[in-house]
Amino acid sequence: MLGHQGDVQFMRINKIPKDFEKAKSKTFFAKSERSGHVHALCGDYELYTNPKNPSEFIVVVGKDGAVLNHTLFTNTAFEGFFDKTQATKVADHRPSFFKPGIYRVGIQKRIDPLRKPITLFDRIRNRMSALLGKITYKQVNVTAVDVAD
Amino acid sequence: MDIDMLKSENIPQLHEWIKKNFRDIFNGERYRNFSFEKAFNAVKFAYQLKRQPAPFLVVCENPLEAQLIKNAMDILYKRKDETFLNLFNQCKNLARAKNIDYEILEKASNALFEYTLTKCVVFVEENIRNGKWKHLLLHVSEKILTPIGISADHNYFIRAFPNLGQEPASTNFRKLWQHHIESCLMVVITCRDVAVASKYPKHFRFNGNRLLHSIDSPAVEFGYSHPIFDASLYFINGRIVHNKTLITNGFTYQDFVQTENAHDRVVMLEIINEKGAEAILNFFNIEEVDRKVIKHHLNMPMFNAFGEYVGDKEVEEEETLILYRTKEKFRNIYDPRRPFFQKNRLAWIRFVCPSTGTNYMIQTSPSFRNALDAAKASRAFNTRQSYAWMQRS
Repeated sequence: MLGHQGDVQFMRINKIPKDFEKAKSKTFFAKSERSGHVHALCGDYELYTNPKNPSEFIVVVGKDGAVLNHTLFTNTAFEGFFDKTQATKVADHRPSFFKPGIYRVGIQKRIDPLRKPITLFDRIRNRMSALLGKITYKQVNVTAVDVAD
Repeated sequence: MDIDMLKSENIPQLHEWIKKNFRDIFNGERYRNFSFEKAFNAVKFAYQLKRQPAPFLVVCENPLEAQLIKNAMDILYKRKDETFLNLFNQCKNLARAKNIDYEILEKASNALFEYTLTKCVVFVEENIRNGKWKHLLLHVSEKILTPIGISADHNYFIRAFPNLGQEPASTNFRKLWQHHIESCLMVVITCRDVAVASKYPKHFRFNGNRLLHSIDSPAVEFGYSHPIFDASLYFINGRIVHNKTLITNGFTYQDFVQTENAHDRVVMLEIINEKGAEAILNFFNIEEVDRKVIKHHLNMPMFNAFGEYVGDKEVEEEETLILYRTKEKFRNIYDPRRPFFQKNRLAWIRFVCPSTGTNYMIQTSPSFRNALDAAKASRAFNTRQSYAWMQRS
């Protein structure tokens, strides 16, 4: 199952991938600083984050389900906002509903045409320099020889 | 105290400290809450700790202005400018009086500032004309790391951690910290008889990822007393913009094509992308490569008046995907799908959906020929599933 709310996209998966760690508290997925709107999941779920990629999340939704709201950031300050399975007043995007299950949540990808891509050669070169650094070598003591002799 | 000494249990404490002490800087409250009396008392206290007589305080709008005013004061002092010396001595006596009248002291200090400002503007303009204006700027004060001002945050942090905020309130160190917070001063240049200080920025602007960002105004906006002292900083998605005329005066297509400066090109591209689909189409010489209309069979969730989920409604929605690319190739434009080519076209995929009001363009690889492939590649996850949404809004 694939879904999206603006540029926040979600996909149902079978198990939690390796790199994810359970988050201590719930938070919104994305925020627009200009409009002050956030994409926030509210309801019965556990949040997992990827320390290597802060815009990637896993949510494990419990039996009560969860609602992905697009709402004002100030609403998230209300006590228990993230725990109520409830649709809030719509900002720009309608609410989406997450049935019980595991979901991957991420932000739509866009390429940066000004960033030089890392090629296979770059990877090999980096790997080689790392490997060369690990090679141990014996220090050879060179004694000075008088050329005149 | 070193950053490596931080342990995982210190992180929430650190976050709390940052939130408590820096929030008012970033929402502009520290600029608005500035009070001359509190600032003067803070600087006076810092001088007392060093067993120095109280200086008088000259307040500027930004650090550049503070440095230039201080340099201009040095010049006027050495030249023995009569009006300047009169005002200077008046301020010095008022600041060291037994019963300080803060209102009069502020007025006297402002009078000195105004006089120095007019002279400083002349110095800077003369130096700009002669091409030597950097002389005045390059003379940077070394006495900038004072216990009042932005360096105090660092000073306080390294000395008080890990007992942040728990040390006794009576200590001089704690008092100094309190004075620093109340002074609302960002930078203080300390001299024997005068302290030249700068206020914090008026406004900060960020994008959704909390990176400094603004495409039409400064991301860090300082006040200034004369336009030549404007020290506001421009950022686009966290990247500093050195050539601020790109934001203040705008740019043309020719500028984009001709520039050899990679930084300028990034800034131009980000500004155009930020302005939206119409701006991109108007700015670049663009051709349509492909267009696809996709029908999505959606399960639209329904909610009652209390916001509770009541079930799904099946609906059909049409989405149009349009793939565009520029007719010209540009140097130093990269395509992640063909990483060895250094001259490429720019390409965008446009998503149009009348029912959700979606109409935006994002950058994609110019080597796509099919709009559907480009749309699939723009998804947040790498998946083999077809391009079909079950829920969308």
